[in-house]
Amino acid sequence: MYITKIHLKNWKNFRQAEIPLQEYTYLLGANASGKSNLLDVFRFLHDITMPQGGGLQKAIADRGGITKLRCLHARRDPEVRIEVDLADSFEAERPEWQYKLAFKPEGKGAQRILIVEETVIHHGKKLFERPTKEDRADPLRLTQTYLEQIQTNADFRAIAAFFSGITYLHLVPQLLKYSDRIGGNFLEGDPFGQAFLKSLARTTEKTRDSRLKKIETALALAVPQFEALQFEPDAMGHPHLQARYKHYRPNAGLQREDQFSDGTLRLIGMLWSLLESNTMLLLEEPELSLHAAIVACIPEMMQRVRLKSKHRRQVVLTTHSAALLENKGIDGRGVIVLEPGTDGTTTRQLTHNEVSAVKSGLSLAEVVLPKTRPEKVAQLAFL
Amino acid sequence: MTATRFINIATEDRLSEAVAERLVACYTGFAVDLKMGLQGNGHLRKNLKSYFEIADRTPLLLMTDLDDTPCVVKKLENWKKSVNRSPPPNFLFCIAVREVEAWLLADHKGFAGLLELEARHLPDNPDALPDPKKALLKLAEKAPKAMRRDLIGVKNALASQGLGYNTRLGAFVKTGWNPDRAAKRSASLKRACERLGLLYQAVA
Repeated sequence: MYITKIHLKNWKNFRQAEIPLQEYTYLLGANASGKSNLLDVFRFLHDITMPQGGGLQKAIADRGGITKLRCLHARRDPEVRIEVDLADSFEAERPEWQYKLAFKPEGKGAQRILIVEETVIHHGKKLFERPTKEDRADPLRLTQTYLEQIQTNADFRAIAAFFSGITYLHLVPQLLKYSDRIGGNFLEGDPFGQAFLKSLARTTEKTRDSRLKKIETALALAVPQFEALQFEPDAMGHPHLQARYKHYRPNAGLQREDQFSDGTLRLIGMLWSLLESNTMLLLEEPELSLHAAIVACIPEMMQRVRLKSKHRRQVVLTTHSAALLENKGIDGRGVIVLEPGTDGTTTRQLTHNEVSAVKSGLSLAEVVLPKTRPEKVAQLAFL
Repeated sequence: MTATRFINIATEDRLSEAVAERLVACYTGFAVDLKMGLQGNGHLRKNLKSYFEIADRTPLLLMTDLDDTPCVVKKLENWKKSVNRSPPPNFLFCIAVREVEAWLLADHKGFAGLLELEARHLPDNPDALPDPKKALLKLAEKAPKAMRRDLIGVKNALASQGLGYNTRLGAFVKTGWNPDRAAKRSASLKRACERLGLLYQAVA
């Protein structure tokens, strides 16, 4: 299943946005245009459905409360609304599932966050629409979504399962390298790859070895002198990755993850998450720390990994990289351009002009990326 | 032992670069040093003056597509006019008629093997094709699924080629493509190979 469309109202930078998604969606925009905030809406849906410690209230609180989450440009209307279409194919005329969620502060007393609407539609047929009669009689019920409760989401478990499988990756190599010294405050879902080694350890040996084998093949192509990658717990049982590099003395070229380069670690993290069987993968600037020639391979690599695996992952990524967008085979239908304005950020697909430029053989790096350049950026050099 | 002699190359894109490297390896004893360009035709033309200056010291092969210019001579003249000097003797200007894809199609045996189809489907005189890339993509429709997907892309995609276009054809240029065989069918390639060989002889 895929998320084929998402509609937002008052979500962070976006007052209103209707965003069609593809199997691979590329979010392009200047700094602070809201790319990460757009990714965050998918993380939000994931947080609601998290089996342990999830829920709407927690997901809002984790984001600093509704005031941090609601669009600054929202005027009188305080409602935040998220509507998602899901289908098995992007060509489907009608979504298989539609999930709508709207919420706002109750406007009095403790200012609890209450659900204004929660609706699930399956093949055009409404399964339920909240608030129900019972909700009105007992407003406390409106603090929890049906989505987050096993008792109430039985009829649309497919959606809940999809959302809870969404993963976000923005591996920060230093957090992984210095994880022992930084100490153990791990964030839920491990967005920054701090507990990456632990999740490697939790994976069954067979799966782990098969994934590491694939990663090893990729690294041998991308990292000079690299030879082999192994999972190796130390004497204390702590999980480690070990790589062997070509060296004139056998066994002298062994390195542990804290000696890996930032790029090597990020590449390992990205490949691992692509090989995972979850539903949707959110990649934040996958180009970081990597050589442009490797970055240029990312779109094709994602496709090849997917073709080899049993599961089809939907990928949404943010990027500033011309190298990443230089492959003329990237499907322009998956490009979303974020344009910040005085009234929040608006989103758009390619314009007719851009479409015809892509059709006549130009790359997205040439066609779209220059449009995300801040207007006055040249003056930055004169500071 | 003779010292390594270097050549620099400037090309339009990754695929042309792969072709240039293969030709250098086949017809000369040069080692490739700088690999410049990769940003299309206009970029090469804009930097022509710098390439001339580089070629004053080290041989340079500039490879570009003829595209829609009526003839090779005209294109050469146009380009040279934009720089206020004549090209140094070690500067070699090679033009694929009309695109480098034509040179790949010219090796019937190799290319038919790549697409797993019979050689009779391939164009007799690829230099005469108005749009060789389009012809290549059309032929790829008959190729096995994986090759088709890599070269053409998925159905309805908004893209001018598949994600694996450069990788697949680049790998073919390195190992499957036979420039000698291809030069028999493409006059522009034949000329390029000969002149590259002569340049090496002159330098070495």
